[in-house]
Amino acid sequence: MSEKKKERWTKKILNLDNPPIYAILLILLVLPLFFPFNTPVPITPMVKALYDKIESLKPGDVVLLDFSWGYGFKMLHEAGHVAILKHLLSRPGVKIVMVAFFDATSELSWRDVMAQVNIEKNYPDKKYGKDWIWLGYIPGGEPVVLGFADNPWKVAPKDKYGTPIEQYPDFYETVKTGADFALVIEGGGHGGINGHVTGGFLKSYGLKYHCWLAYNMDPSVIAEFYPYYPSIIKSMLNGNAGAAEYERLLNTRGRGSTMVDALSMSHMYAVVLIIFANIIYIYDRYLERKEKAKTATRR
Amino acid sequence: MVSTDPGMWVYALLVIAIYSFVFKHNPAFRVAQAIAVGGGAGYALWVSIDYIQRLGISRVQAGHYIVLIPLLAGLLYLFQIYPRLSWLSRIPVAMALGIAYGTTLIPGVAAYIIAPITQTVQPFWTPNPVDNFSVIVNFILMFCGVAFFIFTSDKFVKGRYGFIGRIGRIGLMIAFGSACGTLLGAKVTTAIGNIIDLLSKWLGIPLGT
Repeated sequence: MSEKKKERWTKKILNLDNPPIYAILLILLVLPLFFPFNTPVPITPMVKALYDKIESLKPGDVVLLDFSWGYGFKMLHEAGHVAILKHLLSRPGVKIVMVAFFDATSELSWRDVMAQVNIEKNYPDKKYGKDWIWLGYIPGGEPVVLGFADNPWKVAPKDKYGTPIEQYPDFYETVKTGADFALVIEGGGHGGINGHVTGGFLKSYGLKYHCWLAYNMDPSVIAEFYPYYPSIIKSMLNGNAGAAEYERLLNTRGRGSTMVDALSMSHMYAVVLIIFANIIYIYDRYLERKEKAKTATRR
Repeated sequence: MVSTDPGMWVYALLVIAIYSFVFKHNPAFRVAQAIAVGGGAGYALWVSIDYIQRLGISRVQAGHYIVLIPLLAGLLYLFQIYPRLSWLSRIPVAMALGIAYGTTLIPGVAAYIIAPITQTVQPFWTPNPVDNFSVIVNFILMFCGVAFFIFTSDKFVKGRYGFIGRIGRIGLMIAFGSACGTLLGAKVTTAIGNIIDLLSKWLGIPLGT
């Protein structure tokens, strides 16, 4: 008992349990959702490049839009893909091939993005088979990504609904190899640069066919991709921060912008905690040395 | 207005159960974890069966008999459950690994060796001094980081050139710290997304715009 009483206040803070720290974090995350403070989001050249590229697409150009992220990562990629897809659909005559290579849950990720974009309601002139097709999840990892780049319709001869691609001449006739895609957007970045999908995209569309390659990236691995930017990878969206930038470019405020406010709060909280904990740690060591010196003097 | 969609209620309760782990390990978390794993595996099985039907069996029926080879190879996996014939399951594993290495090895050299080196070693005499500084720092940290792993003898680590390894170690720590920080940010993003869903879709609370 007496030992407990002697515990320094600095030690108590350093040994603080997790729940109060998480409780404060929860409050800080919820607050900006009700009272958004519109964090300034500067537009980086990395994101602007994709916006400009989509703006420059001509009627008849075919874009490959990949949905390769597991459902557990949907919060990282969904906002960016919603913004990109909306932009693509707003461009007249641009054709979109949607596909997923990552895992079975990628199809759920696609479904959620489509629910938010709602093509039938918001883009009634865009017709399935003429303006966009969905190939579904294609398993097999990197060899399949590479094969799809070499001969897309051999790897995916039918769309998700079982219709042969020959019945969609706008796609079947225009695209013979990966080089025929005017723009390739990989969604995910999972596993980093060695990931079986991300690596496949880099090797095939980036290095073999020299396509205009962009990534809607998992922010935890973006650092691995910087050496390839901008020579091979032309644009990268850094998770929700990138999505927020893209939303600003489209003059809309979507989920990316909302999340960036809360994310900024959490980052500031983390910085404050790190600084505070370090100060307390250093002060604790100072107090410990002082106590030791005192004890030594008494002896 | 609170959602009347049973799916949303299941989602909300599972999310709350999963996050309850942050405060204490509890049975609700364990139930949610089991449902997530089981549900994920079940869904993956359903999608796989759909894919086998769509691009496997239907193609064989259409006369593309070459597709029988991967289909039969896939069937060999099932021999894992018969110990006496489990060696057969090694055939599709060997096929998958061989094809994967064969198709990705050569492009891998370009992607993972040549491209990063050419991108890291950049000219540092451009008109932009910030870029130049960045290129120099990148090069030093890359060089020292590689040296830290290659030159591991005592002579090098403790000797007069030990500072190279120490700089490399600092570079690695910066990289790991940055990776850890961004990973944490990514996880918080997921939490924020879940909170938004719970507030707006489940409880129907209007959020600020």
